[in-house]
Amino acid sequence: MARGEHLGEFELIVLAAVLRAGSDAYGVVIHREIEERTRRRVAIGSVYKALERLRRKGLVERRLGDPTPVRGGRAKQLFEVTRAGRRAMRRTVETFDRMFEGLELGLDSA
Amino acid sequence: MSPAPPPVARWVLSYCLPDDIREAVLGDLEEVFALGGGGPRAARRYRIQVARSVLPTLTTGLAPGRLGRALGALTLGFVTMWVVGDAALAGSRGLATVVLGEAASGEAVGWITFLSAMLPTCVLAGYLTAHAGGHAGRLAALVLSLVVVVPALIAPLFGHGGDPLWARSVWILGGFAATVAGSAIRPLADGLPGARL
Repeated sequence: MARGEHLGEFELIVLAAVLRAGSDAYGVVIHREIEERTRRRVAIGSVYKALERLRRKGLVERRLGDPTPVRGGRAKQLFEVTRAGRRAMRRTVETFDRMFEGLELGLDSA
Repeated sequence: MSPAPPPVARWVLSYCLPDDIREAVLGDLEEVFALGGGGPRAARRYRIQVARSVLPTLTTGLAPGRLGRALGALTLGFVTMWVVGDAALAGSRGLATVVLGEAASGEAVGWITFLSAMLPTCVLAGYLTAHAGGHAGRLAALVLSLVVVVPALIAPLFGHGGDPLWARSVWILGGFAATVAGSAIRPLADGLPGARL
């Protein structure tokens, strides 16, 4: 695996949120997806920090959307997962699967 | 007129954000604030988001390849404080003597040097540090502004705490605020380092 294709847990979560948000993947939607699905409080600054890191690795691309009045006339930054990003996600998930294959955590009855 | 997000929180976040994501993040939070009704609860949520986002946004531009530039900018800030500060202090003491005469009290000279030398030097050092530091320039300037206040804070420990507490507080807060204000000034010319972050 090339350098830059190792994903941390939060990076993987952010990439999945971008994919889930589809064509409307901007900060508010990505942030909401993460909070609702992970059930944990996340700072929007942390989401942007992760997105910036992913962008530098070439795993997401960003483009400017239209400004809207509800945003005080500010434009959205829309994100899209690149092919390299999807590959990195798949490899990370496969790694997790291999690590947990046949592993008994002993928490079934909890 | 629709209510606006808390201005101080918005300024703090705006200060911490790198230029390339500033508008997007501020817009996102403004959207959440407006959709939340814009009342006290939405304002509280806005402040919480800002408080939790300050550190991540300040360090967003701090990639390993950019660390050297940030450290270089911090050094530039120190050198500015040292060299320009020393020259400005000498000049303003001379000015104080001319204006107030030889019999001027040490306190009066102290305030003149504070206003005419220390504050402008802090503004200049903050400005240079922020714009030479690229993406992490604001972080470097914030570190510099904290370091500026250290001598005044530790002076009493070394027996130099003769100034009254209120005067020392004005020096500390003034130096900190002037450095932060300098780093918040937009580039004065496109050719300057950091003009296009």
